Amino acid sequence: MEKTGNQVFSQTPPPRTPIVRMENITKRFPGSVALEKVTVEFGEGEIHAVLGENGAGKSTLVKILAGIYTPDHGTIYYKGERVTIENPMKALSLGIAMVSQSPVLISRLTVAENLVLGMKQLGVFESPKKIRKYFEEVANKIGIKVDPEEEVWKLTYTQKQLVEIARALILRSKVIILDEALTYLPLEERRKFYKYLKEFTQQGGTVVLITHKLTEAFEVSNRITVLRRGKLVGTVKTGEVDIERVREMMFAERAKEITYERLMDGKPSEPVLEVKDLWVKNDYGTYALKGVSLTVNRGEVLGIAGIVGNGQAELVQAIMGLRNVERGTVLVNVKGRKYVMPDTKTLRELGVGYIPDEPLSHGVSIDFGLRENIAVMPGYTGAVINWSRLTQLAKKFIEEFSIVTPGAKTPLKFLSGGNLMKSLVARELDLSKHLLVAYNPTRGLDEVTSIKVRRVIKDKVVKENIGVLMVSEDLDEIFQVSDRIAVINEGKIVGLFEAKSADRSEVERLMVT
Amino acid sequence: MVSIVVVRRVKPIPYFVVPIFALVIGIVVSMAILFFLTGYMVWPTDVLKSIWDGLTHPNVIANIFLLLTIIGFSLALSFKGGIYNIGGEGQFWIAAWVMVYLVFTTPYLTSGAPLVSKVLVLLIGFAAGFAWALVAGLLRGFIGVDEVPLTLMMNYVAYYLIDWFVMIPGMPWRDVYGYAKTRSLPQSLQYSILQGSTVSVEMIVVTILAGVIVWLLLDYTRLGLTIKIHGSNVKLLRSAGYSVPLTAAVALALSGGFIGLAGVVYLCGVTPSIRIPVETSTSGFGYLGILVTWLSMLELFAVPIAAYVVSSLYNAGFTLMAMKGMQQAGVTAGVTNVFIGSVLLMYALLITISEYKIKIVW
Amino acid sequence: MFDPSIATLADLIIASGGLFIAFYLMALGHSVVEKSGILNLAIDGTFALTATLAFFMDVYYNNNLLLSFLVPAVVAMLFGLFMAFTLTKFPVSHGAVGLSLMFLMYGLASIIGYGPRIVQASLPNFSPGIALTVEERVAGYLVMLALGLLTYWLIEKTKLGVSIKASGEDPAAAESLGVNVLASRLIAAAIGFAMIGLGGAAYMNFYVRLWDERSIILSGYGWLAFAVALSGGRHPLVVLLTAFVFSILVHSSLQFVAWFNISRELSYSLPFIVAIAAMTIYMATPLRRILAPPRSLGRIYFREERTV
Repeated sequence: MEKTGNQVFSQTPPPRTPIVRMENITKRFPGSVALEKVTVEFGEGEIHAVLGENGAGKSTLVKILAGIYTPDHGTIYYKGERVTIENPMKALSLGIAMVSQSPVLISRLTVAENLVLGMKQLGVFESPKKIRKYFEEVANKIGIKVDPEEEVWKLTYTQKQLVEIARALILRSKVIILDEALTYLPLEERRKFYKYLKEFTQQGGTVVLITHKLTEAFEVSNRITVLRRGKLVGTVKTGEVDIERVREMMFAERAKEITYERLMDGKPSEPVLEVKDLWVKNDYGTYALKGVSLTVNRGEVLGIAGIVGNGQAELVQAIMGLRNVERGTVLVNVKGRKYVMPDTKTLRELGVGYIPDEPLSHGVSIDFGLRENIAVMPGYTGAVINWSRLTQLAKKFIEEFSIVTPGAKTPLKFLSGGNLMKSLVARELDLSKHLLVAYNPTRGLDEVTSIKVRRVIKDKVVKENIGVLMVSEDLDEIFQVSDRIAVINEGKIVGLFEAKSADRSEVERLMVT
Repeated sequence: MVSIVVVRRVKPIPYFVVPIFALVIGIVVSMAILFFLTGYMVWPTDVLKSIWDGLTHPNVIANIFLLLTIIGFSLALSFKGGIYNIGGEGQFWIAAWVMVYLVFTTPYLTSGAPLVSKVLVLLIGFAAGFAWALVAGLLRGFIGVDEVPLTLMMNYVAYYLIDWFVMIPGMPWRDVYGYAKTRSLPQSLQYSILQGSTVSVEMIVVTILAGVIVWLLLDYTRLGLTIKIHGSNVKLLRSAGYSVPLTAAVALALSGGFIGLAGVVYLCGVTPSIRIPVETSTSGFGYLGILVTWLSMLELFAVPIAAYVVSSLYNAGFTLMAMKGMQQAGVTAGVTNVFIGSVLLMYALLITISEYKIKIVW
Repeated sequence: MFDPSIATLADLIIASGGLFIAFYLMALGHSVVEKSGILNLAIDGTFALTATLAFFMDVYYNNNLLLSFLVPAVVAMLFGLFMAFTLTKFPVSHGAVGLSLMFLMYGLASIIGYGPRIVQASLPNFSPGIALTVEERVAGYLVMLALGLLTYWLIEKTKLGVSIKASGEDPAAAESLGVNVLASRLIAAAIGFAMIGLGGAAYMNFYVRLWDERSIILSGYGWLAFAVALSGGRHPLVVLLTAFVFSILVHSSLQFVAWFNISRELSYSLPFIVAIAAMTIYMATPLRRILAPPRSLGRIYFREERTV
């Protein structure tokens, strides 16, 4: 087997004593087994990557280590001794800190107040201001410039992530878990970070890294553990395998189906959505969008690429009438009529679909079944509801998308995450007669289903001449599905490209100031 | 180190389990409280006897049962929408008062056939309860004021406003002999008690109608679905294009309307005048109704069952205090509150086991 | 007739001193509890029960003020600890628990008050509590101010306070950040409910000094304290102001009968109408953002959520 030449760091693994051993860990959630008898060891002085497709159990595994979940069976050994990690505090006291991709800092409190919370060194009645000196020490080392008295909601995403990592260091952690924490950081920052992590491990620290970016895992880690469908596939030394082998471990036979090649081209015609000079505020009162203009044509997919937190959520909400617009206009063209600033009701009645960022909280009601979730949408029922017709429709969706559910009436809370998302997507695609506004349409779906959903969307674009505005945090998805790509950064559109001819590294560069 | 871990259940448990446990444990807790707090005067056996007394004498509790059933249906409507209507008392009494007011100031209301008058006052009661609740509904929906303290405070406002109005000297609704109550309703409005029972046909009919209408509304209309979705996921409602504030306001207002029916029925079927001060003469059906609705787990078919049980509990308070010679009205109401509080508390705690499993880990 | 002069205002302030102490203690305690994320709908029940307990102690222990304040505070604290524990450890509805405790406490108050009421009837010269002198009333205002400053320091300037605030903003995040949410809430509930208990005792001992259904159990004053806390943004110092305004209002509403010739019953309704107005103004204006409620207030805290 050939080694890839892409490794930034030395392949010689440092001497390793396992600092953490997780043995025979099993964890069940309603409707699925997240982890089954997984055994893995993390050694001192190593960067250990945990890889697997969506739903493989990687996040669950580290959340158990971080004290957020408790395993149903299995034991955890820390420095050779058996421990139970029943909550994050216990994990912190052992020196285990976790940083995940969504910041856990409390928005209304200041940075100092957030940092002070885990610190045993400070007494109960001491002022949060005392954290200043600890913070400055670490901040300089990892290169962040943040005022500790600033309230967290004023920070950018990158700053928040870096503050969290600073926190792990201030707390003298021995094991730092990064659960996709660096995925949405700009490349520059990521590189800087990995260098720091290497130093950290050279001093004896351990890093457990979850990422779905195989190439990065290869560049940075000493060992890789692969999980698939909750079971351990194997642990390998990074220096001794190649990327293909690991990919095979992750996906087994289905590796061949995964293709990141572009889907078919769209056939753009007249505009269905026009956004002109949009200024929109976020929840904290500052401008999330600063003069955004774009056009979505029928028969095409306009992909919006960008780091999360640069105004994408506010953009789709404003277009859908769910957020106030301070300045600028939204125009929707349907059947020759121009609708200016249409409200949510009008959009839905016209036939505009919406896949929100958080499907569970905005898109469906889990207490009710698929048929009720269809009925609540305009256009499916009159003042009196005809349940038999709706049940028929629900059954059609279930079949088309292979949704695993006992029936059209079964409350959605009994479905797995993936099937929930499928139900939502099925309904929204049906609703989209002219336009679909989608945010991370395949979040939480495994690779195979994601490809299928993207194909269905592109199909509908081409065959039914609808327009699609797709915001995605996954650049692969953007390149796969879009006909044109716009890059959003700090509330402005900083680049617009034809997807076919776009240079990926240029797009990435624009995503980062 | 022992720790308690809570996990979501994979399969739900049958839903009568929680109400029954809540009732049993709640009553046991009440027994303990009553035993110790009354200086060992009230024995658990006394409590059981008085509850059993109510359960086995349907004639005694029949009126209360029907009223609580109507209120139970009304509250189920708003609770299903996630709106906690604690203002039942206010809506009930305002409806009763508005009826009395209109009956004695607009004589042509009662000049027609009795059936027509009875239907008219029911509609008036509905409208009055609807309007009173709508005020709270609008404040809740459009401004976001928490409906629990809001509707509760409106109960107090209702009580005092009615006290004030009734006692204004020289008004046509004042009792002829000057007692602290309104004049009795004209005969044409009063319901006739069925032979051999304590209830009237009219009351039974209104109760059944209320149930049927609420059921049809909730399960077969878009409005009902909207209310239910409001109770499940407000954000979904918004992104489907509905006005969330309006839905909240309507849910509360409709609930108030149906409770208004109970207020009218009370005056026409149980006692034909309003006694002042309302805050001490009220039986607190608006609050008892909350217990009924929760015990029925918001399932309409279970409302009558829960209402029957709660009426026995209510009656038990009276029986118990009569038995013990502690006949002060306050103590009787107090005993009922101990029952309501204990059962409701057990319900609130036990409802978790219907959704979640509780594990002990060590 | 009504004579709007400084003298009248000064008289009014002095006269309502006892009520101010009661309202402020209740509202302050309630604010501390809610800052930790616990929605407290049991406040009126706590008020009824603690005022009754104070009455009980006064009658049976011959106005021993120490006991009369201590016992209600401890009992209230126990209820508070119960609430904080169950609401944090189990996914239980704050509103449901609060309301059920409210009913329970009303019931307990009725039964507990019955005995001493009868005993008191046989003691012709007995009044619960004490009549405060003018100096004592003024001192009362100052003591409350000091208490407010102390509470403000605790919540805003100490690690304990940050933990409490964090538990109220986002308990899940707080746990991940190392906060012992259960401990923080237990402490907040203990302090807060003890204060509410002291408030109930103050109402009985310093202000109303009688016990009957109407003045204690059916008064609804706990809800007025709720409105005082809410419209003051649960801020220890702003609540001083709202408590002050309300105590003047409630006390003078009885005077309105004489001053403006309105009926007694109507005057009873005024405090509640004002309370509703105060809550509405708070929610409808920027006040709601400047003195924002804790983000997770009343939200069920459940740690083992499924991820999508």
